[in-house]
Amino acid sequence: MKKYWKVITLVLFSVIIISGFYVQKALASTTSPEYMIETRSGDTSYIENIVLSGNVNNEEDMYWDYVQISTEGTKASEDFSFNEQLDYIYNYSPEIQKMYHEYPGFLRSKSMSANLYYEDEAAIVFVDTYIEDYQLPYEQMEIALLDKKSNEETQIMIDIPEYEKYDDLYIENVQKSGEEVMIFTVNYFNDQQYAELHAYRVDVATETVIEDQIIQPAAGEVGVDYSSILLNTYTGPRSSKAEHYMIYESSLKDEQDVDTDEILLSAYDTASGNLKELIIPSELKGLPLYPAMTVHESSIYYTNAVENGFEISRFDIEANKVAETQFVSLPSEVMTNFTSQTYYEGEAFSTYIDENIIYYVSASKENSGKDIAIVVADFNTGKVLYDGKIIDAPEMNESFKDNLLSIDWIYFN
Amino acid sequence: MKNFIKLVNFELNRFFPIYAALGILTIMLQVVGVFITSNDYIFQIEEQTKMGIVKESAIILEIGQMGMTRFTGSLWFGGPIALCVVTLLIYSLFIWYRDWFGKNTFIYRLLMLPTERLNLYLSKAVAIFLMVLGLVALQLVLLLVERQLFSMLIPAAYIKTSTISQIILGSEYLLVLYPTSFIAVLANYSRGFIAILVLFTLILLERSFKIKGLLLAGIYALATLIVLFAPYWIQAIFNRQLFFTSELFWITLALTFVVGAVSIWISHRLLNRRITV
Repeated sequence: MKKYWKVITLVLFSVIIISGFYVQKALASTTSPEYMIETRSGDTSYIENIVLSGNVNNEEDMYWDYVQISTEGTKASEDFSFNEQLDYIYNYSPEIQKMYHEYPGFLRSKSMSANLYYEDEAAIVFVDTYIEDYQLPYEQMEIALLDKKSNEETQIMIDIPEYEKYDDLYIENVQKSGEEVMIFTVNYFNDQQYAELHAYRVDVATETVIEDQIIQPAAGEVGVDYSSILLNTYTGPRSSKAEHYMIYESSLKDEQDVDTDEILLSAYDTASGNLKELIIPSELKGLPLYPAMTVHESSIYYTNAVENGFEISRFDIEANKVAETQFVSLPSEVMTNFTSQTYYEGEAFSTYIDENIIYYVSASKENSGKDIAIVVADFNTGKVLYDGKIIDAPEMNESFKDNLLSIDWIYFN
Repeated sequence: MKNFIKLVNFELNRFFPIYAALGILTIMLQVVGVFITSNDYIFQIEEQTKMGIVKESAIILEIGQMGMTRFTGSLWFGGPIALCVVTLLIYSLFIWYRDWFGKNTFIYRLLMLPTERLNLYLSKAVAIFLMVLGLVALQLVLLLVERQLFSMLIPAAYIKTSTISQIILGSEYLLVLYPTSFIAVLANYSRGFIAILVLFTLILLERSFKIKGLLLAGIYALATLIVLFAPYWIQAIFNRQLFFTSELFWITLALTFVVGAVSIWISHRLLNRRITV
């Protein structure tokens, strides 16, 4: 036995150290950050199903991790199953994560960008550009439809009208109404210097484009369409219902030089295909794009976070005017989390609207004392239904306490 | 089994002086690296103080906290690891050729041993693998020691405390050695072991058929690559991402085991039928 001391020592040393490290890692409860929601006032039932999705990072350590925070605690990337970790499923938006679990067969061989999908109670639609040999321009778009009841998938290819005109085509949003699929795109030409905004209506039964509407023509020599933006895509998580209106905000100048009078808002009616200009008061147009504006059914909600609360205006798209205003009063120590810029000079908060209930979540928890505050309010009465914040859980490992926590999405289980 | 252990021990003994030197060199270079990195950081603090910045928080704002990533990203840390990797790679070839081209063509004595010839092949592979595992374990211990050293050398206010897991997550090289999941550890190290088996099969092909063997080894290496990357070729042919990343992981792992089994079978036949004393 003595003769083999080298091999025995090497085996024992390697096995004890390496397996010891992984066993300790598995047993330790604090190998990832742990947060919890602390209630200041209100009814906790409003946040029971809420999930706040974001990330924890520390530049010094080059450390980054995904987190989901709910009333049940914190789920970090290592809390996902091994296969989910391999598929980086935590990197995708909540609706894609849900599809990954419920319809993995449909997601197979498809891009996982949320803007390429439409989902309602009966169906999921996926649209993507298609090229045979990686040579732009795109000649076709592929459309896949999943009937949730029968679990049957239909795939069709459609030719893009006048495809040769464009250098590139980006799909911003997909909608479905009856047998028609609507595809909202940005079509670039002249080496991406100019762009047109298009709405394609596709008849799935005949596999043809029945309408190619230019929502906004290219600015041409005047300038690049810096701020042409489809608000439904940029203002929070997508709803699982069809959008009544697609709202475009555009100006022909660089964002920095733009005057509020030069901002144009238009609404595309997904049922009729009609486009109309919206008459938005300039004080509302001057609010930062996101998170101040949220499109919900036939309304656009504008929120102005001020020192003592939220000023909310509901713009009725059909009536083309501000229909209601409301003020939600909150103490200044809560509002400071919503009014100050984040560490990365990003947006200060996220908004989610469910019927008349509005959820506000501030964007980041920083060393400076800025917290992630959660406020739930009733738009009709202006009453605060819930007020709380995210705090470090008692079991949080000391090494995670200096990290920056940011919230990107609010969604419901 | 006893013969096999004897052979593994024998192979370890032959390389042990260089292996031990590699371990000691890694320890020395990394520990020196800790002192140099700490001194550099303390020098930066002093520079800030000379410039009139005295508050710790203000200095941290300027130069950042001292985190282990500063060290794990440096040549003092990565250099010795690279040296170990290169040395063991070279020795993976040398472990066979020294038996043929060394003094007294030692391979003849090995082949005459009263044991299955396949044991020679496997014992060499296991010896290399154990040496890799030993260095991987040593690096884990060193990380703990180095973290402790930093906390002794640098004032507490400037230290960014990190768990070993966080240090690993902050370095893509360390993530290869210590994947976050134990399943990935088993998979990665199985792949590594099978890579050694494939390399040994290529060497045995060359030794069995000489110049023709080189061509055969080239064909076998190509065939191995085609099999291992088959799912990716299929995706490229169909111009589609047909598999989820998790599926690709399991499919390629299964194919790796197939390649490993085929390599053992070919090597077994070569050792018994082609290589004669």
